[in-house]
Amino acid sequence: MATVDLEGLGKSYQGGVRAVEGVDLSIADGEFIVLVGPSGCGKSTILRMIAGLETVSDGEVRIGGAVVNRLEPGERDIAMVFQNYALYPHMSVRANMAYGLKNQGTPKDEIARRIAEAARTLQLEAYLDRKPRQLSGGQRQRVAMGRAIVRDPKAFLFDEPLSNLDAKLRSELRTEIKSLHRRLGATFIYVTHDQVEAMSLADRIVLMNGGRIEQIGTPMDLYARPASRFVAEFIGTPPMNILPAESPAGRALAAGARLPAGTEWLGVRPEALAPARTGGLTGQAGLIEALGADMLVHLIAEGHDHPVVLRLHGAAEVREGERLTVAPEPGSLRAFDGEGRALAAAKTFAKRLGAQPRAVSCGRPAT
Amino acid sequence: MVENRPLATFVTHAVLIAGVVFLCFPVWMALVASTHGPEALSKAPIPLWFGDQGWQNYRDLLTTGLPEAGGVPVGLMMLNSLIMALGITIGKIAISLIAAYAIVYFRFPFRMGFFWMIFITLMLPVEVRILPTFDVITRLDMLNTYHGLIIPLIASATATFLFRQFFLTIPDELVEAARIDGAGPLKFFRDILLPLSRTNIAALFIILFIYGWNQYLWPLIVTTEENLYTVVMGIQRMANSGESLPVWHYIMGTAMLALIPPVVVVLAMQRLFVKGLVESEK
Repeated sequence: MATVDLEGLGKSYQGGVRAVEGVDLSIADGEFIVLVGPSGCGKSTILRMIAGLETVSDGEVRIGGAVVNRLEPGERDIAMVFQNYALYPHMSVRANMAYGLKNQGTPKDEIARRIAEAARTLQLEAYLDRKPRQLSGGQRQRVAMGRAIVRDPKAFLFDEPLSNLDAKLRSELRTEIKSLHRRLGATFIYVTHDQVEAMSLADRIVLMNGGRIEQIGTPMDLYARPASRFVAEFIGTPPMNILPAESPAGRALAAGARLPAGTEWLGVRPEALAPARTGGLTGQAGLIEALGADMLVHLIAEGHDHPVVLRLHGAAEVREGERLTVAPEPGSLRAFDGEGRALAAAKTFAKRLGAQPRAVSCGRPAT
Repeated sequence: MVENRPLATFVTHAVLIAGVVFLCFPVWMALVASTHGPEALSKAPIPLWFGDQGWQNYRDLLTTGLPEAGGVPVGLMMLNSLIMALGITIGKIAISLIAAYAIVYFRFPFRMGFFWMIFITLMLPVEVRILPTFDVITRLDMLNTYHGLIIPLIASATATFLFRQFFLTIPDELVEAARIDGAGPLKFFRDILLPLSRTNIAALFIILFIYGWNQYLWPLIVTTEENLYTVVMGIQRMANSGESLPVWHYIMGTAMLALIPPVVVVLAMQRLFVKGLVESEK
């Protein structure tokens, strides 16, 4: 277990393509860091540079304080779990787990002890003598995790480990990875494009965009205080509603709020919009997605082309075509400048007269 | 589809059995001929059932040097053939494995150039380059030696190409996982690549062994000493008896003996070969 530090890390390919630029990141010992971003944002490249599978063009990678730029992957004392498992097909589960240890020259009884322990942790005891092809996808990924655990490495690297699994298994293994992290207390660096995985697993999320870090913070930080429009729209399903501040809809939304100077875009989370008697944004309920626990209403606001999505309680009584007036909860309005950077939060002064608690039905606005 | 038409079943089987008989008849004839005396085959009717000379003929072939075959026992010719075929097979497999490994997994200058050079040699069969090859072997003083028989046939563009194509299908992540597990290039080759190529090696072994066993032109050129003759050459010499009557019973016996090693190789490798076709391990 160790800290991992990236300093001015950059990667450029032949032909001048810069995949990663100026990444500074300090990962504490035992921290669970998730690198997340759209495809091609450089998150996997960073992970592969930490692993040593990709050469470092600029900057430094330090594991446990020592610069590892020039070390082979095998000498860095890290373990990696791949998206397509990458198990050795001709070896049994036991041999797969033992291979790395054997190469390190670990004594046989020590290897056996560690494999037994890892197999118990991952419920793989019954499968130790099987070949990978005789296992299901979830079991294979468990074996890959076991192969990482037995090494007792300084850091665990995960490269989209759950992307090849179906939704149910994915959420099962997600909890398993989380509890594994808690039990081992090791440094985990995890790459995914799935923001739900990022939110549920991470101590801190590193959100990447175009080879640069967009924001680093706890999941709630990123969710509640996005540093930019990009973050606001990437994190959260459905994403944050963004409206131009100077449009009629934007003005209606910000009615009574004091916006920071230079505000060009307003953002508001779907669940921060609640029906209100007066003031706020008025529109017609369009598409309604009932998700059980809640319901997403696509509000066609006057003077705004994109529907504004609001999240209501699943039992709310809204019908398509109904007119609704909604207002943001105090302090929930985010302001962004012309380049998409976040400004200080807009202060909402609006008294939401007669605003009803969100959980209850929202009737027709009284007029 | 389940059909129950007795006549159709009968006709299919009759056709198939006729095919089997047609294919097996020459082998049967050779087997029968090898158990008769020298005269039986030179006059009608040709016997269709075993004679009483079987043990005698095979003992003569294996132990005594026959003047018709250059005075060397067939046993020695078989041994020569075996050494040459195994040398060619193992050599070809080893060299093409290593060459394919270099071409697929290492970045070196003119990598593709080397690959295409190897590939182009596919278009030059032994017969085309036989004169220059013979010249080289003469200058290296390798005439009438086992390595003279083996080495010129040991490079194989086909096998290199096959292994290259197979290595390209191995996912990159497997290489990366091995690197993280601390396996260097040699360890990766030995522990991962070789076991994964097992079925390909078995298939190539069959093909290359038969290729090596059946070599005729090259051994004919480089060997002048009788005790280096291969069995295929021996058969040819016996058949070309010139003035005298061909010793058909010996020729057929030698042919039967020459069949055995390839059959053994096919039977031994078959299980592995079929396994490789049936299961996908990747």
